[in-house]
Amino acid sequence: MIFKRFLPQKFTNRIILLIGFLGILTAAVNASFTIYTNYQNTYENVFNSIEIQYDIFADDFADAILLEDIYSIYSKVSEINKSFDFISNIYVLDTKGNYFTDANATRKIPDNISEDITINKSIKAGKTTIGKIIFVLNKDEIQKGIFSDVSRLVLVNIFIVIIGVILGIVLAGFLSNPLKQLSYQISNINPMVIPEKLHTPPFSSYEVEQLKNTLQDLSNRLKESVNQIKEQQREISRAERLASIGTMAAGLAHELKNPIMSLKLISDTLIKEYEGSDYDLQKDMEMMSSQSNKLVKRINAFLDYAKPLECKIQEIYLEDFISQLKDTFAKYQENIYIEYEYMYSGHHIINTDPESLAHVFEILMQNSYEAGAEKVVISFYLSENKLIIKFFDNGSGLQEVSEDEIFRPFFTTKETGTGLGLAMCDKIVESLSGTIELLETEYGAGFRIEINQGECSEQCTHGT
Amino acid sequence: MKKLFLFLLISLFFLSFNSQAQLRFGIASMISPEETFILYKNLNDYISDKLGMRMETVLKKDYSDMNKLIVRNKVDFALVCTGSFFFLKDNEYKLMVTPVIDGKSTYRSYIITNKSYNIDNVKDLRGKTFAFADRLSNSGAIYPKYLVTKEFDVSYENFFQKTFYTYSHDKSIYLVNNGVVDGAAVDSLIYDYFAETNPEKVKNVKIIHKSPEFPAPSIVASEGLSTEMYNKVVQILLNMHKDPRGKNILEGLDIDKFVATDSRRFEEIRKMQKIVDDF
Repeated sequence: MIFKRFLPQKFTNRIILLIGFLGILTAAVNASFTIYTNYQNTYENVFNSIEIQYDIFADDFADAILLEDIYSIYSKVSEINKSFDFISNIYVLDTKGNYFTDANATRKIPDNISEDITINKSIKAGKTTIGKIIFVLNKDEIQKGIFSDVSRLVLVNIFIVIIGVILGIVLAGFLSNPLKQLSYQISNINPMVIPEKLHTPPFSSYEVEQLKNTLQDLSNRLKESVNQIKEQQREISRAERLASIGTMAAGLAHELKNPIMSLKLISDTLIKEYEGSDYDLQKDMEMMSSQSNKLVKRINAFLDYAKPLECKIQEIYLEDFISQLKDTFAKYQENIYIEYEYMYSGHHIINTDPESLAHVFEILMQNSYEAGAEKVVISFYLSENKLIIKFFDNGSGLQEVSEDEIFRPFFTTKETGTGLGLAMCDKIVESLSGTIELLETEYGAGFRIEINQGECSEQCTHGT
Repeated sequence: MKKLFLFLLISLFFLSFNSQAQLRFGIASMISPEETFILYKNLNDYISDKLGMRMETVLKKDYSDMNKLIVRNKVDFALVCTGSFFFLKDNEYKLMVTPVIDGKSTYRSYIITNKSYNIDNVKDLRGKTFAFADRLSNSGAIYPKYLVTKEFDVSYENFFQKTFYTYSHDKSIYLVNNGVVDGAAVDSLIYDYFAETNPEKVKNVKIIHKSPEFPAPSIVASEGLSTEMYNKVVQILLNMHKDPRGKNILEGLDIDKFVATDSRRFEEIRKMQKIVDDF
């Protein structure tokens, strides 16, 4: 958590921090390893160098000790001592182990020599030890050498880290530039012209390219969503307008219905009063009564359509629903041959408002009857939680009529039609969370009704 | 075949003749052999040119080795330390010349010590380490041993804590200069030569005692050298300072000239040696 607190916000700074951290870590590991190996190697080299010097001069030392040739011994140890900074002194002891000479002419062996790093070598004549050489190492000089090497390395590492950080800054700029460009383009997107094509530099990474593609995809989806919302807004606006017009029209129809009923009542009264006395008046009154009836009928149909639907969803066996449907259609049996097809097997419970759904088929059957149909085929399908019912007749059909028009209120191809039948069907099916569509047929008319079993529109309530 | 045999015979004769014509100049190193060779090469070449003969320089580190060469006629003449030819019998050598340095044909023995050791006189050297040069060297061994015996009535072995032989005066100076030994006895000619030409070699050295003057180291001839050749070489050496080339070489050796010498001058040294030997 502490780490997160110190994490820079900017991507560029994070890359710089990462490279800097890795650089320092690498330098630290490198320096530690070098110090360790340098320490080991330095002492190893020191021991090897002394071993070599001893091997070179071993015979000379032996001769000189035997001859007590102090000059030869001193000049040699002095030369070795001067040649190697890491040797602070070289003591030569004689056969009895007494001091003979030393490279610095100190003339005696110090008491604390054992506390220093020493390398002892025997001077031998054959197998007999005739003297001893003690090489005293200069710890400070050795450590100074190690420190000098390590310092150089540390300086090189610091230089590398600085170069690394500078490269990191350049690299961070290089890496973050595509993101910055993308961010700049996104922040300056004109919502009126989406989807806007986003651009990334040619050296952009795969991830940035993917991000760009994702953003472009989102932009396209946003455009679709905006268009859908706009369309829905238009629909809602239109629906609200129609609803207000419908409400107004329903109110107007209701207002008109009473005077028309009064006219009908007066005309019926006048028909009875002037029955057989004034033939022309009687005919006129009959015409007035008949037109009044027609107007009332249309006003009732309109009021039915305008009235909000209240469907009650309930569980019912499909066979029972079909049975109810057959009873309803019994009155058409004299004129229309009705064929039922069951494209399923077994007993199935469906969720629907049987009365409303039956009303849809009543309207369709009435239209078929009015279109002079002699045969109607109703097919029932059950598929993936859907109830599909196809309705075909061999009536005069609906030539050159589009689906958009046929379900529009007040659209009719019949001289005496109200234009509300199929609109009512559409309204009921929609309230049952279904769809109705016109099927293309060679003759007659065909409809496909699909009722979703798992869904319910807002107008529906569940019953038992 | 006969011609070839004759040719080989004549060639062997001339080779033999040529080897006979070569002189051998011996030098017992009072200083290190390398330094001795460099210094005396010009002298060797000068005598060779004057004689019209090839000459070879024979260097020996040990004075006694050079004495052996003289006795066995392996060198024709040689420069030896004053003390060393006292170990030769009178019939084994002939004195030739003695160098004159700074107007004198004498030299001294210097008892030297390191400046940092607070040793101011010979007495202070008691119980110290001491370096002699060659056992046969007058200035490097005979005189200091004589001095200790005479002054302190004790053998040098008991006077000094430990003694060493360096077989070379410059090595003795080197050891004292570096403080390896407490003291040493060296030839004044060599010490003064270093002090003049290379003061660095004596910068830590101080002289605590100077001996009386002794005859300088001389050139002696072996008995095998013909009188004619002996005379020729003596004349060349005695007249060398008159010749510009010879004078130049002598200056390089820090020698004024060579003069004839007399064996009686060395009697004092012989007495000293006897006292030391008898103690």
